Amino acid sequence: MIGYAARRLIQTIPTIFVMSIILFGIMQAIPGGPMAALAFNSHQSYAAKLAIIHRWGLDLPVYLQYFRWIGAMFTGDWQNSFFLNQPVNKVILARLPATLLLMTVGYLLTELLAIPAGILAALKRYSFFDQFVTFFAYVGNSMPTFWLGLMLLMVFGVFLQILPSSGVIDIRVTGAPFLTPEYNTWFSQNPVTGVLDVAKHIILPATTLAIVGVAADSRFVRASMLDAIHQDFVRTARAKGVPERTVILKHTLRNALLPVITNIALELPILFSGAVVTERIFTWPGMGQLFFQALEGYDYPLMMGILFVAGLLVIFFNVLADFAYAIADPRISYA
Amino acid sequence: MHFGFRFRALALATVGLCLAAACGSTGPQTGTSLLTSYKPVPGVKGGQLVYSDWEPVQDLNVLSSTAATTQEVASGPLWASLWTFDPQNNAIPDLVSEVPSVANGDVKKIDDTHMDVTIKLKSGLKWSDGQPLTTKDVSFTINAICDPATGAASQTGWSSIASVEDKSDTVEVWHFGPDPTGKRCGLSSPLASGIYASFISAMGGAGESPVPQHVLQSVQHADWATNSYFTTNPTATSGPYMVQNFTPGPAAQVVMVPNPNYAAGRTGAQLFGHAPYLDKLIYKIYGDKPSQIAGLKAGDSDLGLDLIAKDLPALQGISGYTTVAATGLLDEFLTLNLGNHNGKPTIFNGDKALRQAIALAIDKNTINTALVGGIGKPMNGPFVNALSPYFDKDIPAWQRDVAKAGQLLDGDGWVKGADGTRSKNGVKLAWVISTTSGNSQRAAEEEQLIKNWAEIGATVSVKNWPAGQFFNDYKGGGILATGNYDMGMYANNWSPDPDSWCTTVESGQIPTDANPSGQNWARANDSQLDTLCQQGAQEVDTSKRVEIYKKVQAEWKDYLPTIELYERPDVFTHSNNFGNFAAAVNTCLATCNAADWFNTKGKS
Amino acid sequence: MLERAVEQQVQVGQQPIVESGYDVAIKQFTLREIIYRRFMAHPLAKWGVVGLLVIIVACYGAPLWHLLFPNFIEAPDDFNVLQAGVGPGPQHLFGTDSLNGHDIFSQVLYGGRLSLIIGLGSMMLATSLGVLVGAFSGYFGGVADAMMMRVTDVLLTVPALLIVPLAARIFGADNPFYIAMIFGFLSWQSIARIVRSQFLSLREMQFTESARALGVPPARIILRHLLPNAVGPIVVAFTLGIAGNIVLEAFISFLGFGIQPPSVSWGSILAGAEEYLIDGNWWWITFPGLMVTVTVLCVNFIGDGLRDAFDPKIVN
Repeated sequence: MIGYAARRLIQTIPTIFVMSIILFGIMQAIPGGPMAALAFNSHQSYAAKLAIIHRWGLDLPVYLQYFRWIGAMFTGDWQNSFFLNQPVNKVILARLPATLLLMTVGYLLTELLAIPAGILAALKRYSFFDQFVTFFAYVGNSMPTFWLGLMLLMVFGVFLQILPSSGVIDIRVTGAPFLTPEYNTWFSQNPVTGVLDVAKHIILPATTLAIVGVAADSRFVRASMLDAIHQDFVRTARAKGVPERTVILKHTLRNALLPVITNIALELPILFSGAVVTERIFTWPGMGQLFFQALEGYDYPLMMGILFVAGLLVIFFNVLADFAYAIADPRISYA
Repeated sequence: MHFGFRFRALALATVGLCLAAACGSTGPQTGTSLLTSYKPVPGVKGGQLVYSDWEPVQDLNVLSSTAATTQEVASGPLWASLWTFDPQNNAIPDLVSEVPSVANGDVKKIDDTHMDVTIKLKSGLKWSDGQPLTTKDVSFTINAICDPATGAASQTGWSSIASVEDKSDTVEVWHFGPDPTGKRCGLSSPLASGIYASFISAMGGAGESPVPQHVLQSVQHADWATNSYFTTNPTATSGPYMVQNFTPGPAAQVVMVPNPNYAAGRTGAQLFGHAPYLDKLIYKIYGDKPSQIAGLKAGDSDLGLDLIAKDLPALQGISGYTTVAATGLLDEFLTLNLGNHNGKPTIFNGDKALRQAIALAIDKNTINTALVGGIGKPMNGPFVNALSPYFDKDIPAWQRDVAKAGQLLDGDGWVKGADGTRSKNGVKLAWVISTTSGNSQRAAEEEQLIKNWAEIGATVSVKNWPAGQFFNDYKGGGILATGNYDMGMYANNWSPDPDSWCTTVESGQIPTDANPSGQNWARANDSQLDTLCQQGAQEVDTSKRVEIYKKVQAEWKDYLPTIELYERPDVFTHSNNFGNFAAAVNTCLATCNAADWFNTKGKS
Repeated sequence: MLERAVEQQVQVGQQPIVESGYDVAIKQFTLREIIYRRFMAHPLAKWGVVGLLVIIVACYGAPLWHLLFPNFIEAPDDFNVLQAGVGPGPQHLFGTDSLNGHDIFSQVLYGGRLSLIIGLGSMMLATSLGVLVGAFSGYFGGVADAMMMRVTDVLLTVPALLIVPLAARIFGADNPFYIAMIFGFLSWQSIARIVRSQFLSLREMQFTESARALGVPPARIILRHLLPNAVGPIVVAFTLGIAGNIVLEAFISFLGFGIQPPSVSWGSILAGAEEYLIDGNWWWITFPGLMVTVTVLCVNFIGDGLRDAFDPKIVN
């Protein structure tokens, strides 16, 4: 197992390498070079722009530029964001927790709903509930995530005004922005208020993620469960006179959930994309929102940084999925 | 939720445009009795207020940022200016004890090309960290503004100063004079005269605040933009509040606490002569307008800025809140490219009759009623009503006249073809209108204009650009600055001195490789306008200036490098316990009087 | 898709059909007929086809509807400011927007033309690219295969949601043709994978081996023998890709990086609606989004039907 893990991790190196070339290529594809179209900043001096060009070697031949850039990325010199005038890695690091928080909550919510719904739908096949789950899955799969978010925002944030429609905390309550040292101090003194405050803000974005997630996952769980019910050992167990309850809980469920677990891991990249969209709609101060902001402002270093981190995250999620698969499926030996 | 760098006061421009600006005539003023109708009431101590915007705040760079959102927190709450402006655009003293004028002897004309301005700071002023605020900080800041490496938003006016003489900690003299070398302070051509009558409007107010020498003297000017003093944590400020913490971006929040040294040196002053009232002042960015309005409705925010006429229906009837709409120095207009586009002269180039016909065909009243809630003011000349005393009140109200436009075109050789489109010498009457993309209000305005112009046989298409590209500077390939357009539509929050209008039409201001910071995006080249504008800038007598600028307006209206659409109202919604809110539609952005803000409920 | 559909269909291929006349014969179905019958037997697929056809006719016929019902369907550049912000009713089925008073129903019809063609066009490009890359990889294998699949893998790791707006930003994509190109260049990877895996297994089959032994050139083997056998999964991926790209277009234009006024697409209508969501006119944002949902739903129904119809596991 450890050998497999090591091999799998080593495999990511060429992937990261190719990814960096692709990212670099995209930036080079900009007509006139990266600085020509993207170096817009109303309040960064020309001298400061020249400094970036020099430090990143943007005045060098293309192949040298690549090595200069990738070298800078690995040594942590990600340059300053044009707009925020702060180091890119610091900016991204400050935003990452909010994205991960949203993903985690959205994820938990999804699985807490999808797994029971899928199982129940499989057990009560063709029932009204089953039909409903199928219908819900179809519609949920067909709805644009951003529009779903907007509809929720409109109904609960604007019309009913029972939930906040933007941000992660209420500054009136906390007195300091999310995850600043002052916030952390305040949070440690008022953990209950703090958790409730974030909970109130996360309901709409997490629900948006969950509705889309449940649509995809409940169907998968249902199919997996049906698959397991029709297995020979289930029939054998039933024939032996094992009570139905035990058959379901002990025999079927365990087998049905194995593929579900791997599927969950495989869905992480999709969930990340979902979070990107949701952050945009609910002004959730995470990485996705930062990206669109960078894009709108032609913030070249920030864009490169976010794409790099996003790529790494997805590669990491893929490795996680493979590990989950290896652990969950005992038939495969990874000596 | 279009986040983005929309500059609400859309000029990135510098020359006295937008934020570098100020409000107020150079009329006589004395230290004791101020020509202002701004009368704040004494406040209650304690409590907090939250004021909000929906566009992002990226940094706190008071000197460089042209983003209105940054100046809404930088100018007023965090940094004090030498003088600032009241809602009627009169200059009022802030760090100075009196606003320099001819009448109080602080402005002296030496000869035809030289003048001296004496700056008298209040004595005993302190930065928030307890260090004294002196004329040394002022001259230090002037030096920085003059160095292009700093990236200051505007060098207007400062470039006319030949030298600064510190007489004491509180008194310094600015010697204005010509610059034969053309190199001083970012100048691109020799300056024949140092007389600069509109220095009041260019050198006070938002974005023109002194910064502390003791904090920044060891930092290279080129590194100011990335220094934490300007990006996240200004450790010494001169305004009523100081930063406790700040997170930038579309969900930015700035938490401010009182500056303990604000009152030092201010006691006895008629305005801003007291310590700040609030325990905490919070500036909150919602990221999108629906959320901001929802926040106001839910009582999460005591004041909403950056609202427009179209938001009025949504703002009506919020209990405990008052909504105010006001027009000021903000207008929406079309700029016609009178030079070349893609190497060829545009159809507007050298065709005055066409420009006049295009203007006559516009239904400004319908645009105002349909898209500006009927509370904007359709314009019939370059200046706005609030530009007192220069605005020419005798100009008649706007009248649409399609028939006359048709006659003008007929007389000019534009003949209607079978398809209804006119053409002249084989050139179709067609052009492209451009504005900032992602702005549905502007897109709707474009639709109306296109419909209007179809009535006179013109075919107009649309090519919109992201605000960043549209307003970028000449070196950065900005669409307007490089003349890569036929007709542009945008707004400007003007400086209260007519000279700032002039800089957008003077032929010397046409952007070129040699003069990349030129402001004449229309590429107007009219010798009469040039002469009149120069006269106006060098005349210190206000009544003579009024006459000069009346002629400027008449000539401008005839030459038509720009077609003004309407004075754009700003809308503010504030809770009824927001004390001393003043709706200023000028470069002060309604935050210049933050020192007087208080919560009527106090600590409650 | 639906297991129930599958169960009902298992026997279709061998059902005896009684021909009219005196002779009773067992009809042998061609593969095409089997697929058609399976597809039609899918409970929702045929409704998907009907729905999509209605939408296509409604959208692309919009200029005609305007001529026929000028009071009901307005011209694309027409509007009535006096009717701004009117709710849904008999005159304006979906209400009007709160700026210039465009009839949203008309806008949705006109907007559908761009949204649909972008979905279709982009997937046509993506399918061509994917088949090309996948066929090459799968048929020749070896180093070329390894490299191509590595690149494909990596392209799958960079979140399309981030790359697409970036590309749209770079190439100034307020042009529908560019948008379709960008979407196409970024959505071929899954098709390439499908084609490759199909080819990997097909190329070991006997019929391929015999063709190769007979000296048939690779291009001909690929075109005549392998590709027809891989059509099923390709068509399914193609269909589902259209659905995905319609949603993507809506999102990109909504963000302001795609189609922009005065051009209309479903996304650009939503972009305008977002800003005025607070005014209480829910119809502006609701109906265009519903239209996207319904369209995508129809396409997904069809995709599911096709998947069942082509599923080799069900072949008798």
